[in-house]
Amino acid sequence: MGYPQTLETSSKVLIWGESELALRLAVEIGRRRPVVWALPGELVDQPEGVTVLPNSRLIEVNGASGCFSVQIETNGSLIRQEAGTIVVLPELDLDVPAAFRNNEEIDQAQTIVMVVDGVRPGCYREIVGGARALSRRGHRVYLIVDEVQVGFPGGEEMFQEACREGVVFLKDTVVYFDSRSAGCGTKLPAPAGVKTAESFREFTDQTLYLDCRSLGDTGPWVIEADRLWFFNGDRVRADYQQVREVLGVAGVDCQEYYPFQTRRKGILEIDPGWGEPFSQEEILAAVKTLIHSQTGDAPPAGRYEVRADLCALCLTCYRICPHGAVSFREGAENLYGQAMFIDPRACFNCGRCYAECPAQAIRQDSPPEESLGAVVLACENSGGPLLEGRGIPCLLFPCAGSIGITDMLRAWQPGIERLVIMTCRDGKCRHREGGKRLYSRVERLNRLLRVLNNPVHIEVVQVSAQDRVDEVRRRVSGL
Amino acid sequence: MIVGELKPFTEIKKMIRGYQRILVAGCGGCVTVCQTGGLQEAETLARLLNMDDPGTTVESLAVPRQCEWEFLEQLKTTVQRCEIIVSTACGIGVQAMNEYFREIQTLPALNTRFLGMPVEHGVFVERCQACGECMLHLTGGICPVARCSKSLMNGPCGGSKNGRCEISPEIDCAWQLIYERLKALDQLERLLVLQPPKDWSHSRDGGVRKMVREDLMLDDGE
Repeated sequence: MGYPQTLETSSKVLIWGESELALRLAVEIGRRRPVVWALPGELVDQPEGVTVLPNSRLIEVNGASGCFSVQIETNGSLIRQEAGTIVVLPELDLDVPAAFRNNEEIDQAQTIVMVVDGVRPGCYREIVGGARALSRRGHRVYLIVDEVQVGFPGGEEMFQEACREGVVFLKDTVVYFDSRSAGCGTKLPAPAGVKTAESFREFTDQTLYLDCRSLGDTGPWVIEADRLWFFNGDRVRADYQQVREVLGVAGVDCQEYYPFQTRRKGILEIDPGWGEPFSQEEILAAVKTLIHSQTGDAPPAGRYEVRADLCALCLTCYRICPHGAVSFREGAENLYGQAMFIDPRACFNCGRCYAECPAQAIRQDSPPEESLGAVVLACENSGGPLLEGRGIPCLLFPCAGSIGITDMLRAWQPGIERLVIMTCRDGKCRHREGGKRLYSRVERLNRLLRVLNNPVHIEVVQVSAQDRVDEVRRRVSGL
Repeated sequence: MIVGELKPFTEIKKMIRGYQRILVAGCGGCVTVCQTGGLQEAETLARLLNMDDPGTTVESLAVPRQCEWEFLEQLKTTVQRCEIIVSTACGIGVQAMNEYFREIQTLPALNTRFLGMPVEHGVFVERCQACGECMLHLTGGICPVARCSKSLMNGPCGGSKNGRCEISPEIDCAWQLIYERLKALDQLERLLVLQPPKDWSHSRDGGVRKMVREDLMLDDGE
């Protein structure tokens, strides 16, 4: 009974650190997401829109996967803070909180940094395949690549799949190599005084060793969900030899096979120049991007908002939002004096609330442009790119899950017997199964449409941006 | 809330046969919350009616509550250009519309089902029968009138099996729930007190019910 609100991730970001960079991150990220800034020392200036906990010490971090629960001692009292993302900015004279070092749950999900440089497509494919397998097992895998290779058959699809499975591609030229031979960067001996912690996991029947803890010693750590990003002020290092053994990239030297350029979104470029340390600006920019990049894209400005005058407080949006972005707001100008509120800093614009609001109280900033004679309503992540420039009139939505029953009916015009909705393939929705709710909606509407004098049918097809239009046309007759 | 359910579309079609200018009037109250009669559903029904017979003009609108005269006034202009109104409100809303707009008929698009609550998103269950004499303080907060299929007042019948009602294995036996709740509250002795026959005159048996609050009533002309 009741409604256990299943928030898969919290949108809150906890920042720990005292430097100018910590302040700037708090302010910058605070514009897009709720931020709690735990400050080891005294607060000098209160940054706008940020909750500040001065004189703080992180005692304990529990949880993982976007639902951290952090115990903080602030001004002598203990509090517990929920956060989906934790940014820790250790400084030279401040120790990394023991809370992180000793946390078992975080340690279970290993962070694996793989540096892939100068390999030909065959090997690249193997490495990406390995990274995907690791990512599926819950590890956080970073592929630091000189170029995202997509020029071989299935390359683009593979890249997309890897991104969706959580592999993070970092395009980076600061990987240090002692030779220009193919493969990965060579491990440098750890500087004196830097602890080298190995993380290793069984991978197929081999063991993968990678040194990554020491990477973060001079830069900030960023933990989002169970991801850890390591930025190094100096070099990114990885154990070339062991990666090579595991993934079979030894003896490859085919630099002429790349670069294969891609303009796909989701590739984060961190390129401070060969061997130069990252500047604060660069770290700031990178962290800001990463913080907003659950799917690789920074969320656009809030596309949906609740009209308080129409909101019936039915709680639909509150219950179904996959990003936990909906809350109550007091002081609304309506019958109830309160209304639901979509926090634009937490909203990823999937539009599920818009589709299901029974009071039509959720306003869409930029509704899809009317497209005369459109028989296709498509998700802009899959159907959109597929149909782009193909001369097939269509209406694009941020997610197929945002296509409401009235949107479907509004697209109908006399003479049309069939509407097609293009959604992402199973498990590929970037808004956590958004498309699944679409199916029940369509099923209900089809039952109603069946008894019309001139029956209309709505068909849902799963497509990928990489599909061939001809093939989709074959599947969907009359398209 | 009042829980309503959309009538079969064919039944609604039959009701409006012969009318060309139709208004589908939604209600922003209970039926919005139970997702059957708010603005979204009103527009859906209007569009479906229009698709069924493209010769018709079908408009849709919703007011905050169809059971208040003041809100119905907002519909006046639209009503004037229609021949028939289809209401997606509960039976109260439909009657309020018929009383307010006397020149034009308002038809029900919903079957008003019961007074209930969502036990999970999309699942509504009856909780109150408006019997007029609440006894929840005696039964651990579980209503035997609405939730016992036989509205028994003094414990379960012989059809209670494994905590379920003999009517359907999907229905919990209200008296089993009452027993468990009172046990948890350490108030099982309440079950030993015999309830006298219920005075049903406060319920439907007393005819049309009415509540007058003289203190709230406005003087004539006010």
